[in-house]
Amino acid sequence: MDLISKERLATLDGPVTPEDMAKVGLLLTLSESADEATLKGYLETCRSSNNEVPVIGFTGTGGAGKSSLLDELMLRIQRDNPGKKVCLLCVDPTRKRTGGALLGDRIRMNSLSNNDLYMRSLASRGSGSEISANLDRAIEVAKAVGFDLIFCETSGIGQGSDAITTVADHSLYVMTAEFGAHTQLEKIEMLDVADVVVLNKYEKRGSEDALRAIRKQVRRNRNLFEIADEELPVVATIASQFADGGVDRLWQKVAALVGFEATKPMDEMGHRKGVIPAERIHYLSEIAATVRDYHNANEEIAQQLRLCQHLETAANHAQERGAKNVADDLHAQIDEMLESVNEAREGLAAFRDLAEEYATGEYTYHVRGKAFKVQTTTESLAHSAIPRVALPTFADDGELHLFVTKENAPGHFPYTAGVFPFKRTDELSARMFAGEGEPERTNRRFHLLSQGQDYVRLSTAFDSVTLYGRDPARRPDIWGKVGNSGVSIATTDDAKRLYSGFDLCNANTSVSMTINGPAPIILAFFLNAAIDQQIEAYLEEQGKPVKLLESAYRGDLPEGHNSFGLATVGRRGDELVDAKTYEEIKARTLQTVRGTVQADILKEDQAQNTCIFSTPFALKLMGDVQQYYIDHGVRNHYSVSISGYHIAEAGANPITQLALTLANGFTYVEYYRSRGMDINKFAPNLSFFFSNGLDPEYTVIGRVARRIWAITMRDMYGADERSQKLKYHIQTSGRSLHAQEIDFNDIRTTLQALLAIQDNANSLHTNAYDEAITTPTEESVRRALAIQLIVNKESGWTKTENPLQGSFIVDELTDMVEEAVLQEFEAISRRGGVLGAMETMYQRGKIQDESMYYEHLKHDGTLPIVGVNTFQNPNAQVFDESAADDFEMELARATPEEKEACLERVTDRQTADSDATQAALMQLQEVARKSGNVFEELMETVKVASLGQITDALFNVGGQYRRNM
Amino acid sequence: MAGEAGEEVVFSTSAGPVRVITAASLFDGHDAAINVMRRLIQSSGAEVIHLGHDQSAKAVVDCAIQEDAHAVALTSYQGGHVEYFTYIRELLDEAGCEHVRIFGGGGGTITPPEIRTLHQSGISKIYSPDDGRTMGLMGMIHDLMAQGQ
Repeated sequence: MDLISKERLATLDGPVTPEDMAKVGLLLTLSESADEATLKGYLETCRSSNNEVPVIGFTGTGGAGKSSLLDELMLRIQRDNPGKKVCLLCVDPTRKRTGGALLGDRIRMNSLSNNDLYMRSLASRGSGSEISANLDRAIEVAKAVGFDLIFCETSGIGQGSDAITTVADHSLYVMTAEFGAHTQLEKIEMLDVADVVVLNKYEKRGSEDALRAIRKQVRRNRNLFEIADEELPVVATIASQFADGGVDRLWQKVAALVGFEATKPMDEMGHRKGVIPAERIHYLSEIAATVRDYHNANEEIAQQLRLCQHLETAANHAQERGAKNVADDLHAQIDEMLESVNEAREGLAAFRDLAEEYATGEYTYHVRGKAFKVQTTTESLAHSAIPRVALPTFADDGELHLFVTKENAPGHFPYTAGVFPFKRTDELSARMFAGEGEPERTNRRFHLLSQGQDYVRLSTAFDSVTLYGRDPARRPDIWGKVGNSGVSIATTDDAKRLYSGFDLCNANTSVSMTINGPAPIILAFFLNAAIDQQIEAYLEEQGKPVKLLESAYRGDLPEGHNSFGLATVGRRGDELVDAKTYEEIKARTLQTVRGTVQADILKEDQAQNTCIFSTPFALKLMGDVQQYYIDHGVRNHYSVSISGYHIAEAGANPITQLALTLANGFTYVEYYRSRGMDINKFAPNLSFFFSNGLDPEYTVIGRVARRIWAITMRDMYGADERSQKLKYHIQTSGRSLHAQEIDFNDIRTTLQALLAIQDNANSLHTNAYDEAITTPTEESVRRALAIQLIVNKESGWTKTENPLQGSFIVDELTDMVEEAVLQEFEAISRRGGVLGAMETMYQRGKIQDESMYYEHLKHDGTLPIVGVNTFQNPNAQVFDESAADDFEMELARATPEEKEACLERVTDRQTADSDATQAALMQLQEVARKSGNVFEELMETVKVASLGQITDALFNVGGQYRRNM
Repeated sequence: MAGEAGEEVVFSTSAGPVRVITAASLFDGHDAAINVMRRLIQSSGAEVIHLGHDQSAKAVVDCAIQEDAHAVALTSYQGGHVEYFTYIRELLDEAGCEHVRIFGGGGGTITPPEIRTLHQSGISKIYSPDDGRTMGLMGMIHDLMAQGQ
């Protein structure tokens, strides 16, 4: 397409204003490609303004955070000067070799959703400078069409360059504390000429000294010895922080230069609301050292035990041979050593007792004061007694000690083989996974899946509208996603419908919710639904049942649905009973309800990208939820599912999956501790979630996770036994599924399920084979569940619950993967811990590199994938347009009718009592501004507001997520 | 012009290099594929304006207009792709940008009948998993660039 074709140019037939986006765009194209006379001609025709327009140049070192800072400035301009038209011209370098360029500034600009801001990315196109050859011509265009303010951002520059000042009236220079020795400042040309010097990333180490040095240099350069620090044109900022006081001050100075309005700053400059306290920043390397120390110490003890045992053998031998002196001497040496090995010896004795007891066929153990009597063997068809747990019979004390400290029996520290002594035989680890359409459709699926099951483990997938915290809407790009790939949930009433017919306080019911960005809001929907169920039950008991509203449930109730939970749809539980009763029922419900909410925001930023709030605010919300759990005794619900699954799905290898995930977990531990929470009160609320693919390391992923967690919890944090037990869920790898030869996917899933079950995963989801292309159907889900059942119930191999223990390769893999994880901890630690590493996108880069490597090996065939790049079916159905007529797969898609229902209901919620809704949203914002517990307030807000309304309200007080490249 | 996989081919137009907007669909965080693609598009000589994940139709269209791009290349893995791509076509056409070409992909989530529907609705090309296999990565990029320029 010729962008400067006659037809297009013909549209430039009169005055152009900033609102004529396409015409401005074309003029800017001309500024880059037309000769002087042509451009001039069009500018004459299109000129709509002769105003003087200030031009601000924005320059600085690469990686100083210029685009985040620009976005923060733009947001403030829009807040303080509505209607003012701003043009932003951003220059990035052209690659010499290809002539291509990556123009990446837009990705960080949340302010672009406001059409008062017009942005154009320019490639330097061989200008040989950090400003594009035609930047001055682009500025001419922006002036002629009547923008009120023009910003130019250059690509990162070196010390000597001030080219920006040739085109800009005012200039800003952005730098960080990383400029080297103070003498380097003398070489920075911009310190002479910039109207404002900005020291960004002020939270970084060394920034206070850097600020002092920069101020000194600027005073010297400009002979400004008399004025106060605050008057100097030097500002420290933390652009990554929402509502940063430093950025406010910067905007004040810039606004004064160009005659714009600026709100007075609320907060101090450089006031860092840090997540992890500075003195705890090396937590990951401490963990690596703790785990290594543990192993080293036990190696030593093992050697001593072995020596002791050998000496005893020798002493006995000497005694028998009558060499009493030798025997006495040996005994004396043994006595000397006993003190240091006594504890270990007791451990060995206890282990041998346990093994003996297991061998009797029956064993009793206790969990939370409850006794469990178990049979320790099962009988095969051939009448062999197959041990449920097989334990070693090492004669060597050293060997046994290493086994006990590195492995131990399942249910014993360090829980390498599992956190419980035996698997429960009554409750299957499978979850009933569903999510599609309106709440009723998913509810029906839940009832279908749980028919005839004593244990109801519901796992909920939400549609992507919900995942991003928005309400259903008619706009086509939203409409198309309502109720697809998950259920649409926008209100507390929706949650009530979704789980209706299940008693959420029943000890045999648990609910898991795959939601992250807006997790606290959805969690508040869920908990309110659970509370109102109990209100309904109470009223029923009192003989005052509430009659269902017509809007309670669309369509017929499925088999097994007793309508429980629907009476309060369209009503508020707290208005149906007196306040005291409500509080009692609420307290009881919170202490009872079982389940998990994913809510893991760190992995979202690293891999899955469903962040909606700024990361610090999202972490604050997680902390608020955990504090609420502690305050209200919520002990049967996991407040977070720390997830490696999405890290693996984004392309990470199993070691990276495990290392990043555990590191994220320990980051939550550090953050919650820094908020004053007791580790023993929150660690039991943490759970983990991994992917199982087919790589060799997946054989030991659970083992390594449990061992590192247990050792760290006990030895570094001094946490109690319950906190030491890492529990995790496995989902088989979605990424390993392929659209080609789709039937083969079940085979992959079976192998992965076997890995999970033999590694004692606490729960398991097996993917349906068609998940490669669509939401699973009833038929494919049934087959996926059958995979688990067959591995668990038919396979003889899994009758023994620790089948991996004692295998040479499993031992070797465990040590190898553990060491690789510890080394990764140290790599992250060197980058300032998980959050520090995230700022430079370390995790994201690593995942992307590993993804590229996989794709590369897949494409060149080095990594064989059966039916995809090898063993291809010559008669396979092609999956492109030519197959359109033969395509016969059943696809799950929400119907227009369902979407209408979702839309209608959320609109009702938004408008039913808009005064109450607005008041509740303002109250929520007030709590957030005062740093109160936002979740506590959300429990109230969700009674009257919709998901999208709440998300918007929180954006204003916590900041929106800013994307990274 | 389309080159063989592996061969370096650089594309350009009368107004300079081809300008391509890359993004992943609204409410869609799957950005692995578009991140690979944008690198390859750039190395074929294009100026790539990358928006990242979770981009509304309006954001993509505003960007294409402001940046005066030749083409937009989008991935969608979360469903709603028929509505998403056709809405972008509508918005572009409304703004007088019929010339901006739309390319897309979504692995197996976009089915053959949907690919046909989209091609009939003014989407230049939806790349299917089989296209990836038969054309190769570079083949797909060269096809896109040749159509886009």
